[in-house]
Amino acid sequence: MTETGQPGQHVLVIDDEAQIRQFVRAGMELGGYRVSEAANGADALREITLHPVDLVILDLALPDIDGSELLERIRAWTGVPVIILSVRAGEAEKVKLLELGADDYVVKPFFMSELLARAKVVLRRQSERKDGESALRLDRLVIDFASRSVALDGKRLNLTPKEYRLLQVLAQHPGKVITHQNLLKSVWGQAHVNNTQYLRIFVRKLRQKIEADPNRPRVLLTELGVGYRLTDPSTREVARAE
Amino acid sequence: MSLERSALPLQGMEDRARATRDLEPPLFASAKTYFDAARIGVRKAMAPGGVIGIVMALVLVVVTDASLLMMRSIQELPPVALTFLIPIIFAAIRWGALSAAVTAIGGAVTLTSFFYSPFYTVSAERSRVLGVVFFLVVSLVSGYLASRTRRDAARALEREIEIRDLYTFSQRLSAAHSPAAIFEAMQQHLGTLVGRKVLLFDSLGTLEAKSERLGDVEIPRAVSEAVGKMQQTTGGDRSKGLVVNERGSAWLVRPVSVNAADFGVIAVDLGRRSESLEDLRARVVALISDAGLSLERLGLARTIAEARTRAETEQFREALIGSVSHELRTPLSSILGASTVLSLAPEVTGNARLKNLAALIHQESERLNVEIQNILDASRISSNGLQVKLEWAEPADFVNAALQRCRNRLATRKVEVTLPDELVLLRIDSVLMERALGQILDNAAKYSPPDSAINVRGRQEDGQFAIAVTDEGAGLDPDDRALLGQKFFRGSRHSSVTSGLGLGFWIASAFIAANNGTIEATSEGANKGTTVTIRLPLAMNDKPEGLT
Repeated sequence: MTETGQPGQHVLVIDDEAQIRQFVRAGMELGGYRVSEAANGADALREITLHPVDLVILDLALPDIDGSELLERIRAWTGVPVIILSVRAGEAEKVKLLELGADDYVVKPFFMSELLARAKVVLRRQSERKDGESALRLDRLVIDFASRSVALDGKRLNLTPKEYRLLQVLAQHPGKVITHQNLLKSVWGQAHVNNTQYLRIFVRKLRQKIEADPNRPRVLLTELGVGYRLTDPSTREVARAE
Repeated sequence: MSLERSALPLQGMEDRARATRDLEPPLFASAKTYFDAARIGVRKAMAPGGVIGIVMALVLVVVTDASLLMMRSIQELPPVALTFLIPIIFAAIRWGALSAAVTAIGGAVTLTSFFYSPFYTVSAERSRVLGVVFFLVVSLVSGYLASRTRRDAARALEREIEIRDLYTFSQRLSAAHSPAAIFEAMQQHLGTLVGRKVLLFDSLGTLEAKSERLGDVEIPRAVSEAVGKMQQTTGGDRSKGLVVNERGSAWLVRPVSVNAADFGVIAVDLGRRSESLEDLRARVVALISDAGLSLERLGLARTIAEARTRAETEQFREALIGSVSHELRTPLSSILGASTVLSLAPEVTGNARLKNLAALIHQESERLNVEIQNILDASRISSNGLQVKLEWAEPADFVNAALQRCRNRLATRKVEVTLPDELVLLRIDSVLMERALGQILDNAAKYSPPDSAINVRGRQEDGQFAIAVTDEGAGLDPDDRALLGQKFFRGSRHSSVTSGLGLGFWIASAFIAANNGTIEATSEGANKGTTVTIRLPLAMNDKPEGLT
């Protein structure tokens, strides 16, 4: 197996529709991944247990088991990154999937470039987690977890404790959507999980400090109705361009 | 179940005639009613034992005597006894047995006085007495026979009328498509049958009267008591009905339908007690149960039909949405996905022609996807299936998301976005707002030149947050604007008819309305561009609490 963070990694595509598996396989292979397929939950579980898998792409509609249940069973014993494929996923469902441990989701129909970009982000995050880096660099922004400092273009930013905490929670899983509830719970505590307005106000304040234009954020992105995610605009632009 | 119910006392023939005139087309109604009235009048007067019969019998005797006496003054007559058979049989046929008997006796008396010699005397001569006795026997027998023929004929006529009435009634019942029509038929038929009052009470026991028809009707106390009792009883009494007497008149009180209390209770004035009362009661009961059955059939049939239609519609809608979202989207996902894979492949990216073709498939399937989404949204709106989750949110978030979603269609436009620097929080469903704004941006792109500018400007004004999308495109002429106000909001115009403000604009309006906002389109005129403005309440008094 090639080194982590690079193509050549093993991707398992779980979808009951042969056509979807066919083009996802073609697309992932074009992206340099090694692909295996499963048409149902039982095959998928066997594949994951028998072979080392670096990424799971999971369609929620499976003939033998509910996709979210399969996700739970996978999560019970492995931290392998999982990207969910779903038709018309509502915001509540997205939140539920993220809480169950999904790393990302893509709503069908989707562009292959989008799926490839998500796969790349998820896999890189996985490798960074393994490396245990103490700082996160997102284009011009550097977050140093050890010294609890944040710098933009080398200049240290003056963040309040709550602002830093918010950024830190997001930065622990760069690229991953963190739900409103999760953020509120981590920063303000369980009692405030429904006070979305706190989040809005602090996200705005953070954006004013870390974004070039807080009205057109490129690092701290909003997932409508679900949560927020931190992205690296330089890599994301590459992925979006096509 | 609400039934139109009117109580219509059918009091005598005149009342009925008036009532019927109210109910039916005037010409036909009055002709028929007066015919009925005349028929019944004649039938009554012709009844055996009628006073007319006796009077007419006497008149006949006098006339016969007078004409015979006149003839005898001119010419000597043979024995004339047989001549009297003519008036006797005539009276028997016209007025019945009693009239014939009176004629016979009158004839016998005058015969002995005037036509057996010596004339103008009453003697007890044996041959004379015998002659009179023979005459009487012969005339009474023939009178009786003749009157029986008459009675049979009359009964046949009566039965024929009755059958015809019943037939008309059953025809009306089977043709009735509303409870009101059944009630009307029932009232009319009962009125004809008993010729007296018929009252209908609703399920609560109140007489629902239409005053102009009813006038002042006094419901006998015994009747209202029986109506109240009938509503509580179950079993045999319900089907047989109760007979109560009030002021010498017998009333039959019975529920219209034994099974369905909803149809109310009917009270029929059967007239004075007589031997035929039991027969009349049985007939009225039979008639009411016929009508009741029709009502039940109608009500039941309609309930079943309505339930079935509703279920079918719902099922069809679900099936349609299900199949649209699944059966159409599944292949579309493959097409869109595969086309994007193609445009990534080196063999295609290296070949300009193939690259364009792959991009074409990509674009068109994306467009198809948008259309499917629109149909699904429209269906959700029409079926009130829109779920709105209002939360504090920044307008910049949904504006950016909408711009992001439309980025391919806006790629060649010069898009300028202006948003306030300060934080604005609105109580909205960001996902719906993003879709609404996406529709407006899509329209702006669709109906403006590729290299033109599109301006998105958000600002606070008059306690509202306004987002204005201005394009340099086709604009709106006065006709367009009129349609925008009238039809668009009902969604009856389709995007193919005019400049794209069809389904898309309609969906946007519905989504914005769900966020307590308004949408407005203005234009300087055709080809002068359009400005679509969304206004959302700022909710000044409901500001989220600030934090440091």
